[in-house]
Amino acid sequence: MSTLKIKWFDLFTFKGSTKLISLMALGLIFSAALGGIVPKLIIDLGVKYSDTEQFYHSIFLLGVLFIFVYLNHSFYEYIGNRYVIRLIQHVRSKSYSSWILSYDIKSGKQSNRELYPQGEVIARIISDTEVLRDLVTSGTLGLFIDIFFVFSCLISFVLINKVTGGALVFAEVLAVILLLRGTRYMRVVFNRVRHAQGNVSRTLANVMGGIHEMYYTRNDRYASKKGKKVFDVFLKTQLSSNLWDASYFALAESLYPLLLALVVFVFPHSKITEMAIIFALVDLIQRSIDPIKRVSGKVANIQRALTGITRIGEFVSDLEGSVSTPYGRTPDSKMDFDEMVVTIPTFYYENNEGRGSDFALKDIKLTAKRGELIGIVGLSGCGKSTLLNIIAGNIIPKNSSIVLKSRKGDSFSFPGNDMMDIINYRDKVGIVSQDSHIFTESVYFNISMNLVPRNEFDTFWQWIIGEIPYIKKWGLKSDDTIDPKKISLGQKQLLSAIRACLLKRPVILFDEISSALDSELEHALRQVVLLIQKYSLTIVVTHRIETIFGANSIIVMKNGLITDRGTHKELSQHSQNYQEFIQKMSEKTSI
Amino acid sequence: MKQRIQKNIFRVVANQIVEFSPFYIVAIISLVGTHYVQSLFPEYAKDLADMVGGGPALNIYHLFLLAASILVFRTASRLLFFYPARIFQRNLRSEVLMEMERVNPSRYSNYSSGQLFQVLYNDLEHVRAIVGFVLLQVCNVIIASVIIIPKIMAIHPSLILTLSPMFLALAFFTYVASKNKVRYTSIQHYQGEVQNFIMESYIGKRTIKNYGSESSFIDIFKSWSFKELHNYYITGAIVSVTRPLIPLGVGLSLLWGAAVIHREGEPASTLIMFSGLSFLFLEPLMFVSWIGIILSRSLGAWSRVWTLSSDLRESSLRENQIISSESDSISYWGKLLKIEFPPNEITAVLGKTGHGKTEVIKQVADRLRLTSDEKVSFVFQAPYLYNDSLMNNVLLGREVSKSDVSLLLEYLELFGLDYFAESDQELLDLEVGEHGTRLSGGQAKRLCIIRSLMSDASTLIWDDPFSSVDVILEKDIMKKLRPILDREHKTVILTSHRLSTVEESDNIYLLDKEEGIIESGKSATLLNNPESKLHEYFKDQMV
Repeated sequence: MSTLKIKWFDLFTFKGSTKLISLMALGLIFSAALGGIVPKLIIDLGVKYSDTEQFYHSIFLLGVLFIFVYLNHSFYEYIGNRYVIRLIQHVRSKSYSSWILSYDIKSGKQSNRELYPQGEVIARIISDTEVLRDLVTSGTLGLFIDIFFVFSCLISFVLINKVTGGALVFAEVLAVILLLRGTRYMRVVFNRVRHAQGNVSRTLANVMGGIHEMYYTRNDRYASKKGKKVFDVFLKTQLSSNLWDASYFALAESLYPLLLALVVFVFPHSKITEMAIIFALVDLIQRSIDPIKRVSGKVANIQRALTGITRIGEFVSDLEGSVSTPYGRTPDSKMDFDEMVVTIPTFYYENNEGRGSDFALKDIKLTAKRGELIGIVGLSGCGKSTLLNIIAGNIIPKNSSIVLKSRKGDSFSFPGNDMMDIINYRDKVGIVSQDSHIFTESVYFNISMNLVPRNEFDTFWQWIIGEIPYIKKWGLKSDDTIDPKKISLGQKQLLSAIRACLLKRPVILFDEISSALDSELEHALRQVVLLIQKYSLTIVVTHRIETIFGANSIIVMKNGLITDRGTHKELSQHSQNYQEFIQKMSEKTSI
Repeated sequence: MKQRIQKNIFRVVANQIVEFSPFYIVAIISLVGTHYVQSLFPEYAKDLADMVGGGPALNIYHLFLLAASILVFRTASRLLFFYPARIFQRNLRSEVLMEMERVNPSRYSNYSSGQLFQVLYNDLEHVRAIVGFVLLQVCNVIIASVIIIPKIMAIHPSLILTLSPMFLALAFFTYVASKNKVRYTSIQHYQGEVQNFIMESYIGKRTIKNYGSESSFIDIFKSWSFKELHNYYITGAIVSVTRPLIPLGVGLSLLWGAAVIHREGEPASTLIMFSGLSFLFLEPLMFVSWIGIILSRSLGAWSRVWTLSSDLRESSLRENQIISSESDSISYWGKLLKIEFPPNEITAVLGKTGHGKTEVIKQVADRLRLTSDEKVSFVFQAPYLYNDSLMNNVLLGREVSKSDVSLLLEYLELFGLDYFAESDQELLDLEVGEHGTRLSGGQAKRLCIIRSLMSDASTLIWDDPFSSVDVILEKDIMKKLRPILDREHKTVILTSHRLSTVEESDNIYLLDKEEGIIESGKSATLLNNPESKLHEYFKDQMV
């Protein structure tokens, strides 16, 4: 709970926020000052009714007052608007940053990715900040200045007539307190609405993703059925929230006659002799009804904003509490890499412990040098993907170590002692897999990930065009925006490999990349691998022998063990497991 | 689609009013009641002032009665306007969703899934304001005027003129606010971009983190978000200086009225009554002043809903082309290909990446869907899985029978997908996660192949079905699949890059962008013929 409170404060403060808040406070104070004058001027209007000149003077003074009220109000709302908009930008940036900086590493219970799926991330970053914006658009901020104004009016009236003024203050404060107490129940109702709305959003996002595909297969109106269910729940919660909302609003409006009744009730004790005081009194009641009414209405907005902030606070603290890259860090992949030593005495998935599969990696010892191409082969379930994921730093194994040594003698080790060791290690390893993403951005952005200066990239791109005829034929230019939907899986993988080539990581891993490639693309990809090999250690997990024909060394895995190691030629002659693998690959099943 | 979606918004509103007329009739009666009761308040205030001068005492019970009736009338009027609007929203959402599910996807192919989400979620959220808030506040201000203005005129006819400052302020604000419309359009546009950007960061997060380029993404996010918010800031600034004009207008009307009352020699207590009556305008005016903003936002949203729904209604160019072309020809890079798919056999469509294999089989699927009763089931290259249980992802809303379940379990075992859970029930209930994240690409694809096998379609079209499955598993699956395909009389059309898949197919078509069909025939014969183009094509893969 205490960490959450710190987050709250963090969320509301940003550069320049103090200045804006002070200016808003100034507006509030000025509003109170103006409010204090009103009853006096209204009474004057009544008292001086018989004296034409003084009556018009009072009208003039009130006119000036109203104009000042207008100016002050505009100023306050303008500043408030500025504050809220900057607050949203701040909160959004903060939640996006902590989300993107956090790792989706699975530890114990749920990973962040499971806790916050895509729809949820959008809901937190967009919808939950939108409720802050509603503070401005719904006029909730304006309510505060009105309350200051009216409250000061009331106090000033108490000074004129203690009995009636006191009774009025008492009644109005009581009304506000009662209305606010009632909002506790409203909060429950509104939360229910928000929850139902969240379900609508999630469900829609979920069914929208698949709706065009499902046209081409039998589906018994899956999307409509799913949708209808959540729409109906949302409607039901809306009904109760509308009922609360409407009756609250009405309750506040019914205060007018009740306050008049109160005045009649205390009249015998009030010693009011001048009609002008009644004029000021009625004016006061009229002025105060609107803010009181809005308190009940806007409380909903404030609550919604608070719920939003709470949800964002929860989101941010969950993510910042998990393993994250430090903000503003640029990856440092530079090292005069020499060799990598992998030692994994034993590794098993914690979740699978005690369950059906008792898969484990055992006795993995592996040394590989810069410039080498290492292939890893084996049948499904042999552990090669697990090994690759450990080397990539996606899984943190216990009691194991991977050491990257440089030619100067210094080294990086994984998992090392703390998170920084892991992050530093991950900087040195690049992975190209079927998961590698191509963004709807320019070629430059996709390949350089904005980590390489433009001119350096252009030189690189010219070089790539020269080296790889496929790219030349493709005709892709640095500034072209790539539409990931319009390029094939193979082309995506080629671009991902070129990305790895530019971002010169000492160790580059290829995970099952060639299975979706046609011959032409595969040839292009092999060319990229050759380029990468010039300065990196390249490790390729594959099912296609042709990809690693020329590898310096092929590792054969079976049941979590490395059974054999050697070149294709050596293994073909001596390794029974390798021969078995090759045979399975080329076996025909029919005809 | 039903009559609910019309281009003309007035018709939409009219239809809504007719459909829910009992709600709206009672709502309007309640509104009249509210304003009538409220218009009595200033008279009571005047009587109160007269008490000071020795007039009769006020009846407190009357005042309580007024309070109670306000409570009832106000609650009823708001509720009865808002609730039908919500029903309207629910119905619209369901209808658009149902229509999308029904029609050929080419009708909405120029929308990204983010944009579709925007229409169904955000836009339909805004649209409801037209038949809820806007309708209520328009009625509110009209009824208030009809009741209050005669009372003011009764004091003195020339007082009507003194109301002009507040109405002018309202008009000015509404005008300025409606000028913001352009900005609201760009706000919506940028909001879509921000959402898209988050979606993409989500999908690409691994890649972003692998290369440590979080900072660039944070920067881009900030700049998109700033663009959206900056527009908001400007509209907000304009509103903040114009909207407080309305209370100022009410104040000035009051002062002007006071001067008129004084000039006409009315008693001072009339001031109280007039100020009370003019104050009653404040509530409807403050609300109605938002109409400009809300209307421009909702109308923008409505035009997007309308555009989508009319796109859904009209058949697309692609549909027309497919329907009008001959039944066995497929358009391919400006040429017409004659391709036949022998029933109960496996036919593989081959060709280089980017040469349009997917498009060819997609056209086959579209043709079957559009022009025949023959059922088809298409598995995409990177198929989508719903964030739902494994069974629901296969059966997609179907009533589940016992035999379906046992068949499903049989397939899961066959495809090597049965090891996730210990019991059958656990396996069927397994949540696959968003976009099927809990399954690997290959597992997701196998699940979708099961989906197509269970769809009772006679033609199964699989786009590169084994691309994420290793060769050994592929062979294993094909070996077991053959007898099932024969038993169930399924025709299979697939694309592939792999020799292993082609070896399992009966027929092949080898396509080329420039030349069309380069070769076709029985795959076994062609593979064994060293002279064939197919042999040449797979030379590299023949180790």
